[in-house]
Amino acid sequence: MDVLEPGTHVDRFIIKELLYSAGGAYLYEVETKEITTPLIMKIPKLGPSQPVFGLVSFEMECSILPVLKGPHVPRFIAANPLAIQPYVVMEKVIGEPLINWVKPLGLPLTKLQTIGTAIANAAHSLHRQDTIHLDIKPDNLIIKADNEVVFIDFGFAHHSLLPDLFSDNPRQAVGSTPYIAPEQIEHIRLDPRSDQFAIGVTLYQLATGELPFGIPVTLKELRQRHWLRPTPIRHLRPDLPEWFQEIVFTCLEPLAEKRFASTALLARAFSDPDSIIITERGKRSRPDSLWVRLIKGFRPAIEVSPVPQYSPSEQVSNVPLIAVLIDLEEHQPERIKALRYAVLRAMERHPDSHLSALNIIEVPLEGAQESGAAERHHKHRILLEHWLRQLHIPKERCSAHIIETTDMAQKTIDFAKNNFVDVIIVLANQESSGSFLRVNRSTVTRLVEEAPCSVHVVRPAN
Amino acid sequence: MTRIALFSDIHANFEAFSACEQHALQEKAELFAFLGDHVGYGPDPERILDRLIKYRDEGHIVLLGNHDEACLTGPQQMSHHARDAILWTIPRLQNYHFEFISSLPFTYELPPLLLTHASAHEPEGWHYLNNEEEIKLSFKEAEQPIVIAGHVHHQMLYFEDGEKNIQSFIPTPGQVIPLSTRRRWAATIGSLGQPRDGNSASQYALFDNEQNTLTFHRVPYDIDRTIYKIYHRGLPPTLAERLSKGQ
Repeated sequence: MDVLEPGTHVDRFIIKELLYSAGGAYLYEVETKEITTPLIMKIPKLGPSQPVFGLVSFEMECSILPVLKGPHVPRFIAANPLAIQPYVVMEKVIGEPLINWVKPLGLPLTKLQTIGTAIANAAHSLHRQDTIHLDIKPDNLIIKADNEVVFIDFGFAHHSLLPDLFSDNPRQAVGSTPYIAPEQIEHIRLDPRSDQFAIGVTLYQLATGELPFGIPVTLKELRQRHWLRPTPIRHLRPDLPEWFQEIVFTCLEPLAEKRFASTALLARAFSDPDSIIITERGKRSRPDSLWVRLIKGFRPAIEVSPVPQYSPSEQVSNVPLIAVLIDLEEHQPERIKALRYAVLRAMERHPDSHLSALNIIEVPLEGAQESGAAERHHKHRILLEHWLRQLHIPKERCSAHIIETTDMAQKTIDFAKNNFVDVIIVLANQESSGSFLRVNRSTVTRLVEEAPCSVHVVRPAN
Repeated sequence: MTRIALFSDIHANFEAFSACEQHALQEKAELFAFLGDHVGYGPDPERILDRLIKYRDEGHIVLLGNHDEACLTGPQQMSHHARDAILWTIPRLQNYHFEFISSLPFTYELPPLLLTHASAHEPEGWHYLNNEEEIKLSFKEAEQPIVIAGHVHHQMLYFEDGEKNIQSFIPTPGQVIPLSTRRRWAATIGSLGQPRDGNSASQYALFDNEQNTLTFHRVPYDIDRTIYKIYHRGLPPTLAERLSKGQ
């Protein structure tokens, strides 16, 4: 197929310029009268010399892109998969491709932390929409100026409510070989934790400039990730902390159930590294010896996690992030007890859930250097951690957050939004409440009306 | 014309028919295609046939099903419940009903769809379109890329993969599914009047001819009224029990 010249009309779109020609498609910048924002048109390369995969992945993208929403996917504009010249048009994402950030010496920790959080949040947003990307890699990620990540290229993606055109492809694993999860190699396309593995490979590459499993060509090489432990990040980058390696190597666990239970928990780990328990994964500093590799590779164990029985959104909703608003001035035993029971019931229902205990201190002016502020913060932290300890929840399943603000409701809503909180638990207001620090009626009302999740208002029975 | 309501296996269930008709009109259906088995099992065969005659006269599509055919030829090779229901139905029909049934075709081409009650392969043989072999035979027979059928009382979507194998997909009600005509598809759209997947809500589908999308729907209806009629009009009580259980 010939490259389209600038000025060529394709339905209501006019070709401006060819941006990219590789793999199975051409990418053009296009314009149309009705839309002022920059647009991209993807046209698959057709013909006997093109792999069947190209057209199938184009069909998948045309099916999935229109049903996706949110800031982490390009906005769908139009598609005509049946035309002689099939195409899909989407908004042009303004940002930098993550591949530009892959440097031989790696990125500094703060950048890695920001990117790790952003990719994990973006993946969680997809999983909540019943979609698994299955081709996460630096080439398919764009970082916007506000550090939000946008996924592009949904050609290998799986949407549990749409027919999967790659559902039974015994001949070839679908995805980019350096990044795909072990279960993808064994043709399992239903596990959102597969995206986590690819995020792990991406972060390893951003940290070290190297790919943890190289660029495999044969199936035997591809399957090495079932048993081969990559060179420790800290061997290549001793300046990076153990918690970073712990996070990345958790993502790279060959068995999906040993990874984070959801990418929301992965994002949480990046935002609160103090809560990470460092295991042998994080402490490892030397690569396995040749002898160990030979023994492991002699009779490699190819073990795969069971195929999930639920859709991606159901799977991630089983791993809820729960936030509880705690008023440390609350002393009525029946109210404290009611709140604790509500938290424990919510945690017990979901064994992989995570609890964020929020103590929000209202201050007259945000950011002002008050005398005694540090001491107050420290005192609140001790009390909040004591409150949490009484619940007997394992340390890795909960975290304490002291937030000082002028607007308690807004700060809680922002926290819920930024951390993909699934439910906020808050004590109902009391009629006689007069405390300045108490969660007041307007805060609870605003949370119920404006929070991006469920709000459980707890009131003790009389 | 853009949206086609695909109704099958009404089985003389007027309440289910009315609920789905209303739902389809709300979904902006402009053309109705009735894929056969309009009678049998249910208590309102005359009323349903009268409605379908009107629809046919207005240019909508009405096909023949095996239960309709049995009203003309007798209920040979049917289960005893089906046979009892047909023997109950026949005396209630007028001559013009029989004339209408005898005029109905087995299949209808509405590009890119081939509409049929059972398999597109030997449609007069009433083969169930629910296995790889029959779907492949249907694809071989049909000139259109998408085969739409009823008869099996389950909603299912089948498609041909790159290796020419048949893959199946259980649709979620209300989810719009794009069907690329670059590959072959077959859909069984379920039954309005007698669903058999454990859920008594009516089944139908809507095809958007402009976008090439198929959406499966489930519609609740006044099942108690239908059951009451089955008991009081002398149909076998088992038919009422099956209806309430979605069997």
